[in-house]
Amino acid sequence: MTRPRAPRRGIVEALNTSFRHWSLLPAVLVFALLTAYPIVNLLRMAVSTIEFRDGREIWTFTPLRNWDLLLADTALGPVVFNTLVFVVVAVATEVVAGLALALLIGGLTRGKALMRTLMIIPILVPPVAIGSMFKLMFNHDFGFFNQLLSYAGMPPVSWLGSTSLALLSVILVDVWHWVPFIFLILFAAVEGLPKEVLEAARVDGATRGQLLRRVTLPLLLPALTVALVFRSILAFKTFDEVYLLTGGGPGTSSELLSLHLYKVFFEQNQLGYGALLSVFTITGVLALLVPARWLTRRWALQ
Amino acid sequence: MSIMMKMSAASRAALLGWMMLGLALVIVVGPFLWIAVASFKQPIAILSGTWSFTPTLDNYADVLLSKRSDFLAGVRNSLTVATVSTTLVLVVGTLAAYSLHRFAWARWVTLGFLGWTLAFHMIPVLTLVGPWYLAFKQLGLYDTRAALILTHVSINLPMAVWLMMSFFRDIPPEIEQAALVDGCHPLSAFWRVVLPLVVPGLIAAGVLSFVFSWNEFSIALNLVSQTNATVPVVVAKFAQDYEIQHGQMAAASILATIPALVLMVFGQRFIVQGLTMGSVK
Amino acid sequence: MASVSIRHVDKAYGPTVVMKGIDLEVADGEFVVLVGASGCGKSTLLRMIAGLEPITAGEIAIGGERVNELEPRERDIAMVFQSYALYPHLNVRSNLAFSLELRKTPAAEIEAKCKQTAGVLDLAQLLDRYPRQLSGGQRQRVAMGRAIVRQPRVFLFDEPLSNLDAKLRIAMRTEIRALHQRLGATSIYVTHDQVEAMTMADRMVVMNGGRIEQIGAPLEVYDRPGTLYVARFIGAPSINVFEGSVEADGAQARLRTRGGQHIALPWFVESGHAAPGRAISAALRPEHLAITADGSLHGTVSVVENLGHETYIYVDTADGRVCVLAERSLRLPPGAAVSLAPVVEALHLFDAPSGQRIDAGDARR
Repeated sequence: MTRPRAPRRGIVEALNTSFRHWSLLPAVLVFALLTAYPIVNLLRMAVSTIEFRDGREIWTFTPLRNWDLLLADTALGPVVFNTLVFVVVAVATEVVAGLALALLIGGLTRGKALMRTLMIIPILVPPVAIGSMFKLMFNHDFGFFNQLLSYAGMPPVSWLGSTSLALLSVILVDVWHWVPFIFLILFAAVEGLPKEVLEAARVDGATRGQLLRRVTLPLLLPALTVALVFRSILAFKTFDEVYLLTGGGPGTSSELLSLHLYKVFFEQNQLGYGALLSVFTITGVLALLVPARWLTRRWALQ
Repeated sequence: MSIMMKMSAASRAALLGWMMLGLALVIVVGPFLWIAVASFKQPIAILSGTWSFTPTLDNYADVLLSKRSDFLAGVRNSLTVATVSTTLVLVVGTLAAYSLHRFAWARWVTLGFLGWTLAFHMIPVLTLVGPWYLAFKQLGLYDTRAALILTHVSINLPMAVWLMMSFFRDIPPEIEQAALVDGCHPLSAFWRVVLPLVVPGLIAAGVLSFVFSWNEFSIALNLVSQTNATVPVVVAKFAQDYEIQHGQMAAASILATIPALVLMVFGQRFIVQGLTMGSVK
Repeated sequence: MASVSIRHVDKAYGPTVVMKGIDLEVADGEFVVLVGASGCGKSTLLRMIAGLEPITAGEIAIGGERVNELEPRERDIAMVFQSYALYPHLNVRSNLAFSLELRKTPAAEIEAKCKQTAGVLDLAQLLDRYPRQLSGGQRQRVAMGRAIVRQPRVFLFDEPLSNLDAKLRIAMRTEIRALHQRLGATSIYVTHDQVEAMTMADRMVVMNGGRIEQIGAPLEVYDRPGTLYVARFIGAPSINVFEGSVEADGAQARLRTRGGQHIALPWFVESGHAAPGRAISAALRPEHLAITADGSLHGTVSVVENLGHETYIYVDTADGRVCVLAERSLRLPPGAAVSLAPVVEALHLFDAPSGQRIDAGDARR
């Protein structure tokens, strides 16, 4: 009995046999065209000057000029410093606060679901909206924080306008934004702790303090490491809130790396210099992957 | 305080937990409440910081309806960009994730691909906006929603791939093998057997991708102009204008937050799953 | 070492009462096994003794002192968990030493005790390994070592052998028993496996639905089950049960089974239990049925199981499948018709509605 072969069958057969390949192809294409190619372009841009005349792009090969711009960039030093301070302080605060919350909420019998629901909100809100909300709240004249200070009988503070406080305010907003994320990760880990191991420790004689120090925290180390490493690397990407809150000011006291890149590219229109900075930034961030991997390997994969 | 002493250690810890919960509630919800109140105030009421005032809808009217506001246009643009990019991300990402999971690619392929997604996920987006700017200008795609869609796809693809891979890993291999034994081709096994099993993953990845696309700012700021501006760009405009319009800023912030709250109500479970899974590589 | 006393203990989760009126006295040095099906409450009872579950009503005392309000660590007990619950981030040595370090025991003493315990349980080679590197049996021994090293008053075991394969389980059973004989420690052991209970216990506590069905030495419980539940639960293969009603005609009484067969009830009339029509259940162990030429029960051979040292023949009768312990030499093909003779003196009789045992010496009901 011969089966009729409809022409459509041929295409389906072909799709099936090559499924292996064409399923991966789109993603590879996306990455190749939209990420790899632009990065290669960055290298080209880093050694050129690009100008627009009469609506056309003009490229000139000027390898040294961008270097000169970098060395002359007085803002760069403070920016790098600010970024490092930001990452260290914000992430440390976020991890400690998130851990404390996860442990305390983990001990509750009810209310956990409410907490989880609550903590999703800051992650879903547009960072721009967070920036604008806190900009209003930090307002010197009518903002929420200065209202609180006035109730306590204290003079108003210029949260966003003073060089000493601007970076702190940015860090505060970042903490508000990201503690919930850290909390969710650590909370999942706390819930996943082996119950009988904790009970065994209680039977073996551990007080609450000993239980925390000798059993709970060591068992949470993998999740803590992941949260710490992940958040640290993501912290370098911060842009939206800073742009809204302070625009980097006053001066450069709250300017972070991403914001500086933006300014160089789109306010100063120095595409070549910006590309050079980008190359350094990318290398720097990727270099951080090495200690991150080492840390994770040592503490997270027991 | 003597009550505290009489309670056992366990109840003390529980009390502390409840206090933390209350505090967290206040800290997380507080800003929204304060901004919501401000959004209903007249400019004078805002500046004077009074708590008794006559509420007004002027700010919202100004944001949504006035000629000089692009908010509604921004919503349209954001909706288009987010929906299309999410669809693409889900299709491309799920296929790629399944391919890496199911078909034994050479080690360098898998590691290379996943490593690249990881690396790309980590570098600040603004490093690429420059080359993108030039590239899209050359292609004539500068200031189009297509440019935003393409870049958003590339940004959200890593998360989608990682997320879907972890969901695929949770499916017992015997199920796929049973499908093949029953006579399925790899494609139909995927389509009819595996895919229905990872619907929660698709929802999680879809919701997250949509939200991140909607919220995306640094690319939208630089690759499109006013006509194609997305919601975050419009909101930023209110904050940057020469005369700061506080009431409208507050109203715009609240309006921008609404999609997030809606999604939270409906997609909670998936979101949490997605976020915690996605980060535990 | 100490005794454990459980008096009128109730347990409720909110409004749901899961355990009522539990009374049990465990003597110093005794090995008591709590046995029952899943959900009967045996683990809950053990955890209440340990202090991991609160006691709703009643009192638990260890060594004569009430422990209801005491935290687990204040009760001087040790527990071996079903999943072993070893500390995954510590090696075997640290796992053993953990409880001693918590009490700030001097290092030399810790070292000595760990060495000794490791020697007893054959763990000396494994001291530097981590739990994830150990096999199931090795982990089990470390869990026991952790309990032993502290020399507590009472040992609690929560189904420690359930996760091991059959052969290992049998080997560990004898190990635990030997250890108990050596240490003489008061032990309360929970299991769902009645073979474990029979082979290990000084006394067994059969539990069902949050109540104690019977307490007694293993053979005592085997020979004189106090309720139909206990008769069914203890003994493998299961006891054969015939349900029916009493037929009496003056001097003779017999059971008319549901399937229409008859079993004589010799002492029923003399003791005054023979109310005609009374619903009772009669139970007979497989070893108390014989395949003869003229037995009162009839059926066809269904399945023959040759275990090497014993042969069990399953016979389909009008009252269902009956299991008979038979001679190896008996060769019966499936489908063969046979008749069975019950050893009437070994009949266990139970009142059908209550499940309670009916004895000759009992008062007339």
